[in-house]
Amino acid sequence: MKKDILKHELVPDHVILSKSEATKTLKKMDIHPEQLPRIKSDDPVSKAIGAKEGDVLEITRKSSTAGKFVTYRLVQD
Amino acid sequence: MIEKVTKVVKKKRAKFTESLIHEIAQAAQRHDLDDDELDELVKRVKKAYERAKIEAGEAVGTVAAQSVGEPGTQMTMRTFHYAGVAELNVTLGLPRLIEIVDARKKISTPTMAIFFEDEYRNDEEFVRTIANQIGKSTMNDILQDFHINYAENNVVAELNMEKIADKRLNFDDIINRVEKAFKKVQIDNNLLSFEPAKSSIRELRLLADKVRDLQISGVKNIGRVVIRKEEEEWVIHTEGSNLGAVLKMEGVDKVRTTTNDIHEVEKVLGVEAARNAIIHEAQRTMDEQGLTVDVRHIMLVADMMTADGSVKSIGRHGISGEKASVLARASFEETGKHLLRASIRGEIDHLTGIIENIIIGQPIPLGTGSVGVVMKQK
Amino acid sequence: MASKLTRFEKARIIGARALQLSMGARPLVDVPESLDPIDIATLELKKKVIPLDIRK
Repeated sequence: MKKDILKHELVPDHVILSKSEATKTLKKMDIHPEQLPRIKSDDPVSKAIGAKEGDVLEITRKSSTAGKFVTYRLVQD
Repeated sequence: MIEKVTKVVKKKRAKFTESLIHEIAQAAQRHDLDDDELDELVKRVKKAYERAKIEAGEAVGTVAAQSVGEPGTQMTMRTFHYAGVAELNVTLGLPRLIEIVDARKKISTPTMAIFFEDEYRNDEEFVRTIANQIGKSTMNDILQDFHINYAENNVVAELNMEKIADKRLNFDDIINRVEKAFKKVQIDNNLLSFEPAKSSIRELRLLADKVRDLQISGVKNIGRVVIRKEEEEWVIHTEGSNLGAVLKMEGVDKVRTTTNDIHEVEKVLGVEAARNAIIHEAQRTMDEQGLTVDVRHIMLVADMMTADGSVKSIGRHGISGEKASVLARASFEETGKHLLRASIRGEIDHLTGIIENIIIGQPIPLGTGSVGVVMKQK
Repeated sequence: MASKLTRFEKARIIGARALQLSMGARPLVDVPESLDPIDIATLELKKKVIPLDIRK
């Protein structure tokens, strides 16, 4: 059941970035992690993929304008 | 073809979106472009793309507000609509749009569309069974005969086995539920007799109502259900919504089954899904009224509403009410309250926003105003 | 100025430079036939000689 929600069409792909990947992406965007949008650590998806506070999630959305769009969220309590 | 275009795009150092690359590839195929022509096409598309991009400092929020607001004035006050042939009522139009941006906890007409997995998609029998498990049924729906016996001080109910079979309910389940709900009950096959706790006519009548209203099947918060065949498959539409419980059911499509209750989507599927639900619902509402708003405006609204990890409303209790600046909050609503509170707490306004700077008469940090100029260090 | 300027940055820089020129600053390009400080500033920007930087 826990993994089932990840297959739902409304839920885009969430991937936990490793520390080095996260630093690299933040540097590329020239921002601090606090400037990212948030996702709660008790969010159903955070729980399903096992994300912890402070992690940066890479979210690949299906977009009706761009086809595919990559964005990031910071996991927060 | 797509790989080829991707390569050319990379060579030109353009950052195109996936759909744009697909479109170019399609066009190249259609017109049978050679390499030089493709190069030229990508070059021109790049130019147009760069020009169309939003620049830093553009007032996107204001533009989005205008773009949603203007068609909004044309929305009819006709609030109710029937979704298709079924007699299900769904709030649409302006009231629904307000409901979405206000992020109401209790929406006026929650409804679900339940789909089924491949093997059950055309299995009418299975779908009807599930529909009766989901939809609310009470004792009243399966009674053959019901009467209050004043002489013997009890309520006698005779169950109709045919109706039970028609509703695909399990007789034992019903008996279990009955036994759980009523202590003094005698069961003789399909004949049930209930006795009140105290013997008085008033109690007896109350008991009769309670027996008739006893819910014998159904998922919490879901009322009526409508079964419909849509494009070669069976779909259940419900009045009321409980996404979490329905998704756990056997045979239900875990990919497409949805609800129009955004808070429920957030609770069960997370913020990102809620963002998608907001976009989808808002656009559907506009479309239904024959109005077109570019999705990007709606996306911006949805992004703002979900930026801090949970769905927040636009307005006093949400985004506008949580602004950092005192002056910005005071200028929106409840001016006195905000100014008083800020003065008690000794809040500081750093004057970084638009509204604050308009109030004190400075250039606003937007467009040209957002750019600072310094002499070059030599 | 590594990346391309936005139209707001362009306007702001030309404006600031034009003000300097109008108050007597020495043009850093050969002055064309037009003596309008905005025209001069625009030309200076085109030749990338404006001694101003953008602060975000």
